Amino acid sequence: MTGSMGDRPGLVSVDSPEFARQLVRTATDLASLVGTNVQLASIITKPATSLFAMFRDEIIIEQFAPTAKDLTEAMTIEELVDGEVDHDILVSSSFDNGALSAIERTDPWRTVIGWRERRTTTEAIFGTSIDRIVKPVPCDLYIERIGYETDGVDSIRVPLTGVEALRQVGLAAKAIALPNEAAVYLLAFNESDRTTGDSPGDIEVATEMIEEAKGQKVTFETVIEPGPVRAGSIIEMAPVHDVLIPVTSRHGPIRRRVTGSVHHRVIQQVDKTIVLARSGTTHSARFEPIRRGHRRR
Amino acid sequence: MTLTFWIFVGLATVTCLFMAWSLGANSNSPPFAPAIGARAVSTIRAAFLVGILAGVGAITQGGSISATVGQGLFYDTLITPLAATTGLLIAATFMALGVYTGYPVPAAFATTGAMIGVGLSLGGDPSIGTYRQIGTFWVLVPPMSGGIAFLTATLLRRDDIPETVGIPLLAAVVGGVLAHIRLGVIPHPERSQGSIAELFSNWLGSPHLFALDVPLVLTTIVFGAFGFLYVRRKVRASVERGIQSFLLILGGIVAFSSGGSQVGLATGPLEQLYGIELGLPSVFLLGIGATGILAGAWMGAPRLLQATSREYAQLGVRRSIAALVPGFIIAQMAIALGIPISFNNIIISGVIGGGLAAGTAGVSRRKIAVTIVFWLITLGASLGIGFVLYRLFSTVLGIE
Repeated sequence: MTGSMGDRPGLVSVDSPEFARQLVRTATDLASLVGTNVQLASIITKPATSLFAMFRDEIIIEQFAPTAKDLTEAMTIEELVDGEVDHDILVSSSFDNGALSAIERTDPWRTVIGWRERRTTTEAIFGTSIDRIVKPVPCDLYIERIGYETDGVDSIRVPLTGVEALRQVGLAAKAIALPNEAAVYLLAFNESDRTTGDSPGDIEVATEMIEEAKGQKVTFETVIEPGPVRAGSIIEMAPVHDVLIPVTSRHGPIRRRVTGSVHHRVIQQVDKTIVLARSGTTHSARFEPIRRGHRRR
Repeated sequence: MTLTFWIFVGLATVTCLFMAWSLGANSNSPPFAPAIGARAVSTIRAAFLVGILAGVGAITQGGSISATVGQGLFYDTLITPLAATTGLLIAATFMALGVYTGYPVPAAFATTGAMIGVGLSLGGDPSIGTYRQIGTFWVLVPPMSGGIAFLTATLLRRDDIPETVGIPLLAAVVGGVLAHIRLGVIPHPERSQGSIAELFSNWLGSPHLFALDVPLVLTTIVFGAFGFLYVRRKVRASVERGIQSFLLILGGIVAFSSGGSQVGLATGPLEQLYGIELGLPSVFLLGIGATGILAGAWMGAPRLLQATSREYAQLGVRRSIAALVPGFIIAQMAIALGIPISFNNIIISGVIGGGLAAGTAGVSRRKIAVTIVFWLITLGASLGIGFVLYRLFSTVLGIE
């Protein structure tokens, strides 16, 4: 990573016009808060097995990408994206490779991508595109569950379930709360035997982010639940909120799932807008040389 | 037969089913995509037809390639249960890696490479002539497929040849070839598969005139004439509906051929295990492969068909037909010669050839080079891993 937050844009990568609006909205909310530009990346996927994968990228975009025009129109929404907007169309063998290429080209401070819950058999075995992006991304990452866009936001719940990405969840909460004049509710768990940090500390970091970020103050409230992190508590409180902002919390060496068991249960049972946050500083560079070679295809 | 033997039989059968499922989900469905793109059939109905036709093609036509993969790569070498299982596991792993990484990994290269590797490790006597034949065919597939597609697209693009003539002419060619496709259900005095033309010829005593087998020629003409007249009647009534009908028929025939040409990649490694060790007829093994292909097509094809039909719609019906015709002809040539092939490679070459007829191929040299490199890596790596892994398993388990 090079440069400071102000020099580097926020990136949003999309492969389907259907959900472009939802993701661009989140990206512009974040960009407005920190005062950076938004870079749009439309990803046209052509797997290696596609009959059209052998064509040059410009031919694919012109002739064999029926969604390219719709995607471009859907992403450059005037009421959301003001001023100069850089829009790039990339052809890639998969969404994750395309999104990683966009990050490599743009060097963004943060990236917003979408995540569908529906899994094919192959995805269930090998993981989704998003699972593959989570670990190697060298910037802050926001993964929004698509298909659950809310009309208005009055209330945002931020469950603090670890010590990672506290600043990122705080920033996202304020970015979404400000234009909607919504209230933010932090939820922490006070687990006495924790060794890597305690709940008050977690709350301090997230609170600091919400208070110190640019823009007007937002209303926020904190709840501390005694005992270990419980999915049940988060699920119980979810219905009264419009948006949930948890932290992406799990990564294994073989299959990197987006969420750990707690948030996995929450996501399955909560019918709300969910934006997962992950800190760019936690990524591992172990497989980076292999992935770099792959992305350049 | 020991417990270990049955464990290997079970493991190998499950791997075979996985391979066939994967082939059914990926390789067998594209032939129907142009018909969906032209709104001749719905996606779900197409997926249903793909499963049935590819499954039937696998049972009736799959025997020749399966026999080459399982018995034709070495002289007088018994592929043991451990060797068959190792070869299949390697091929399946390569295919899974292809899905996971997005790299182009052709099943034909992975299976053939793995089986040669384990066979060499077994101390088998390699059938160099067969390797030469397979290698030559693989090298010739892109120019053959591209060339046939180029000719087909050129014919369809000519203004002086109306569609009421051009499309029926192609139907005549397809009909003529159909008379010669080899099916397991048609008896032949020397082979396990015979064609309809050969059946008539043998039935009539193979009379010759000027060195030509008369019944063979007449059957070809009758089939060709039937194809021409049937499609011409449809095209004359309505060009759009006539083309839709031809795309549907062609898609069905190509899906059938793809089943026959692909199932051997999953069942071939088990030929000796099922045929010699278990004493089961080859149709039993082909039935397992056909079941996997059918399941793969029904479960995986709708999603793939939806994606590729949109692309074919952009490609246009002429180039779609131009890509499918060589797919059918080359797949049938491969079946007749018993050569394992990658069906996607044929179709991709056809799409490029059809593009050349329109003035520009528009292909990326870099992408082609990367793809060829990966094909070669797949072949070499599967061979090397097959050799080493079989030796390792054999040493560790203490069995051959």
